[in-house]
Amino acid sequence: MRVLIISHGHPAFSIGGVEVASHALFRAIQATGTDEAFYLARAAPPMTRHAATPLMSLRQSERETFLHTDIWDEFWLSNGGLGDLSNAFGAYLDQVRPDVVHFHHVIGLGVEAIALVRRRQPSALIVMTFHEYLPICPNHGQMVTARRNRLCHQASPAACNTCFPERTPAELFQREQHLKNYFMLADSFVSPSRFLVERYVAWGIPADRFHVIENGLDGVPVPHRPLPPGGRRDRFAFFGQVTEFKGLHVLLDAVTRVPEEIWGDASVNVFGGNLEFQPEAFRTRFAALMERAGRRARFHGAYQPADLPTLMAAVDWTIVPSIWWENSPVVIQESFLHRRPLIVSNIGGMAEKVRDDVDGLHFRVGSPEDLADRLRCVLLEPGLWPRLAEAAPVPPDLALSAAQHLSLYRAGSPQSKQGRRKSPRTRGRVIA
Amino acid sequence: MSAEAETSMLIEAPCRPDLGSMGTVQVLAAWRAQPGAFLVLGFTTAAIPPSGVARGRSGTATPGVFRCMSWPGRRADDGGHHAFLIAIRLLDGGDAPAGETLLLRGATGGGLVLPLPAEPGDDEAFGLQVARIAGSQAAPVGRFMLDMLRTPADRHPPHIGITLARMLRAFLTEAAETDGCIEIMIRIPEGAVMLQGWGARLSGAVHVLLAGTTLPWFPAHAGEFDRSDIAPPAVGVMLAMPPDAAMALGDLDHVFVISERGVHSRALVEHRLLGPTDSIGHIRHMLPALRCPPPMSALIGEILRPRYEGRDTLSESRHPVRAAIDFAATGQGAGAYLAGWISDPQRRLARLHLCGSCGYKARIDEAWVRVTRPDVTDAFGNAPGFAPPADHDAGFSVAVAEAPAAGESLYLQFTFVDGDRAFLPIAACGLEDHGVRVCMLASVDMFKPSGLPILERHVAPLMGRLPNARDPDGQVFLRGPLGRNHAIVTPLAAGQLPRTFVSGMLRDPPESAEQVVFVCGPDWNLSQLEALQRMIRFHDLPASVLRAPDVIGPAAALRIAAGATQAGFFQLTVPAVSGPPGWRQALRAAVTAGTAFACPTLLYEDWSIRYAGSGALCFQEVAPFTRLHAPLAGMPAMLADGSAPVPARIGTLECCAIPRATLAAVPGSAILVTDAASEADFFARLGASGLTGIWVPSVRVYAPEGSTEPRPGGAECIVDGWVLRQKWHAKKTRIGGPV
Repeated sequence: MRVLIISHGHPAFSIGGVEVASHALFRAIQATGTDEAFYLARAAPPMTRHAATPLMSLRQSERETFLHTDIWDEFWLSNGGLGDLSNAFGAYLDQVRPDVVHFHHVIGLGVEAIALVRRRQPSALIVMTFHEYLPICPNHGQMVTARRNRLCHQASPAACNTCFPERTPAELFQREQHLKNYFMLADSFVSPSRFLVERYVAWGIPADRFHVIENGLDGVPVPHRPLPPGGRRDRFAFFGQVTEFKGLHVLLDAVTRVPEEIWGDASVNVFGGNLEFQPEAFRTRFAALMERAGRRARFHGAYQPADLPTLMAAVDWTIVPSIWWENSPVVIQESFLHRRPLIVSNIGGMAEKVRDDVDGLHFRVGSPEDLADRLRCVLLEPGLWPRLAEAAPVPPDLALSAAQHLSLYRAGSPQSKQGRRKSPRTRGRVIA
Repeated sequence: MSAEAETSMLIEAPCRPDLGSMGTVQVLAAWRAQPGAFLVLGFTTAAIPPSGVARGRSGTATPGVFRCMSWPGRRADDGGHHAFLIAIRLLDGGDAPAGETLLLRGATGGGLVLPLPAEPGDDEAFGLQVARIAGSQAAPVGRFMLDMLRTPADRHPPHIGITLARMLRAFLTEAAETDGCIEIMIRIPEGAVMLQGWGARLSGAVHVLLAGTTLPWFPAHAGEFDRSDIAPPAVGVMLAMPPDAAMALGDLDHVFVISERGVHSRALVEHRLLGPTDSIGHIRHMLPALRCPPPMSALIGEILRPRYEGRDTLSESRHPVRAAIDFAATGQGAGAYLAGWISDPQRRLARLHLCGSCGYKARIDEAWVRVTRPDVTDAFGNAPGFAPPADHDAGFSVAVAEAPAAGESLYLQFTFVDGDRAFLPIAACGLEDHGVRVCMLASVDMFKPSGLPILERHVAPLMGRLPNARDPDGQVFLRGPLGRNHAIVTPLAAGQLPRTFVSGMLRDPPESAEQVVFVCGPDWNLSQLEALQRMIRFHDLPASVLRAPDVIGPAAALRIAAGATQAGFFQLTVPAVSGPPGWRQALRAAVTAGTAFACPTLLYEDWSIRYAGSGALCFQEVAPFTRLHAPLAGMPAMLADGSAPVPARIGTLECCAIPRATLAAVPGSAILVTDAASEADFFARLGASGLTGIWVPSVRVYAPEGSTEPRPGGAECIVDGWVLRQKWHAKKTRIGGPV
């Protein structure tokens, strides 16, 4: 079976959860030795493209290709360079002739890429993994209100219009219809979390096309931090991008609310990048909160994935204070791998993946007071940490994840399907 | 016989070689006006024919023609000689070298041998010599020269050649008598030029030469008037010239006049120019004292014709005549259109003209179509002098083929039976604007008896003369399978790619009999059209793109698609409409014989009902005067449940299946219906003709708020509320029931 994995970025150039997960799946399938995998990632400015073609290799492995695109409509998730898409990507598909095309994102490539795959490789199985809620929510796919960062429980043209008054409900409705029209060309959808499935099913994607497959993770657990005599499990860590939606402001606020006699020598270590790309207001606020936290919090900046075991070895707890729903944050799996209990917001993918008082603790999303209470709790109860750490589940490894994906592919392969939805060029198929 | 034919015959006549026996000739001077054109001055003892053929003796010169003027000479040594001035023009671009001998043969016999001087004459010297030889005959000689030297190339003042001007000026300066001056230059708004001064008596037709940088001349009329400050026999003089003369006033310093009495020189004593503001009043002031020939009287009469100057408006008139213009529009090169009313119960009006501030004038009361307007007669029923008339034909509509000049202010000129006049200023719109054309079309009530003649005699010819009317269906930017029987017609708003519509085709691909026709307006530029083309090709849609010359709405898109395709069935669908797979086929299948249209259930983006049949026309007192009312609008979709089609008088152009036969059955012309019609108007016309459609509740599609765009601005506003109320109020049960 030939599987083409498509991502909106390559981890060699852009470190993000989707890039890492999609590339790991590519490598894992390739490692099976029974199936062939190809990887196509989008390249974008400031990378420069070849004059004659948007296809590039960028010195990656021979099965990895880049498609340079630079005309992007974020509202419609549309690629303005249909000529390049049709010619270069179409020709690439003709050459690779994949049995399965697995999209991990359409950013930069456009939803039109799905239609092109359907037309150029009509017998190919199209699989789409959703990593966030971008088709549902124009606010960066966070399902958080644009003005006040409040959680959005259900998108609708009228509700989205309050976030984006410059867009009429009619436009927002058309966006929804437009994206559904394309996504419904896919045969199967994958989500690493059940929570995300529920959101997309509520949005209108048929539930029977969804499959929950957790992202795979390879690695060797690092030992627990050796405690000095009389020491406590009081080293907390934040891993992730420093954005407003990640809730760092909640964490830093909570840190200052813990009384000094309880806090003692505890510390919060913030490992995260991309602060420089955030709005000025956020950066100013972040700096002020860090200043206020004083010695209790320390900002270490960005890290490489390979550094994570080392960083994890120095901490006892992982905190995921996101104020958006999340899906299946890699940091949760990595914490479980290294048997570090988590303190997470009580919503969405975080609440699903971390069991409250079993392998971690929940706090009320966006509430520094509630998080401060959890911090007090863990600092005052020495027996809590070993109990939670012991119960941490072992995340699936890459091989298992790849096997689950291949199983899905085979179940939906042309041999096992009676038919698939038709396209302008492939009439006669039955709409599922 | 025409001059050209005469010339042709003369050239073909044989030229005898013994012309030398016809008399002796002494050439004094010759002047070459331009290659092949000469003036020759001399004496002869023979009688010279007044005109004839000229030919070179050596054979090098091409044939030509000549005209001659002769007069008793004053040569001292021989009183029997005649002076002559011969004008020769060689034809076909021919020329004669210096020293050539020309043979002249008269048209009726006789001739002479005319040797040209070895050296061409100097301009000023020749003019001076002609003047001296002409003596008392200077005036007729001068007229002869002006007549002979006029060519198509130099008829207009700016093209008077320097050589010619130099020769003429020398002649005039020598021949003219300084006997007066010019004091005032008068430029009439509509172009005539008059010069006023004093001097020796001048009357009748004259030639006026305006000396400045150049020396253009004009035929003119001279008039006289008495002046107490001038000693007799001098009088006041007024010269009237055609409009072209205005171009020479800027650097005028001197005026020569050639009259029956002689050549006159009159200097401009001061550069006083009366402009448009003062000139009419000045001429009107001078008129009682002026004695002038009939042509000049007529000219002055035209100059002083009545015109609207902010006074004498109809509302101030003592006559029981009142009027108003509801709609006025003009189109460059196309004409003008007026619709309004006139209450004239005592028939005082004799003539009605549409006039302009720059001379535009067109009579409109001979061709207009009168329209019943009982509202007007009712309104004036109790007014003094406005006794109820025998009929209610107060309304009128008229188009005139002549268009006023750009920027010309328009007004109506009412001429009453007693000769009195009154005016009514008009604010006219430009027919180049689509909205104005829509207004014009919508102002015609097709259901009145007057509708058809207005359309046939006035509106349609006027529309036909408009530039856009020559290409009513625009251009085919992208040609798809236009022959397929089912056309999905989609009007596009300015530059908005139909993303949802196209992606919807992925889930519900067109069948083999279906084609898509996108219709966009001129607000789509080339790059936008190319983006649309890329989108169509990328998705492999069987689609055409038509670019209309005007901004289009759904109805206009329907008309354009009907003209461009051979489809027998149209599915009008604005691009925002989206439905489940198979909805188009289901809607089409519901249309049976005799069904004018079929509309699905339309839902808003919030899933509430937008259209669910049972629509009605709602009449309003204010703009937009009418609107479609859907009783279930906004209610939950479950209330629009049903499976069987339901008869419907009112549909929706958001989404509507229409057989071509329906378009053919719509009353009125296709242009009127589709260009002017709002949605309300369209279905009202169908309903009035007894055509009914169906609502198909089982077919549900989404048509989000705002998807009515594009639509010509204010299309619904232009539907005449009064007309609709009058015509439809009694019938509205037929078209959906009272609201």
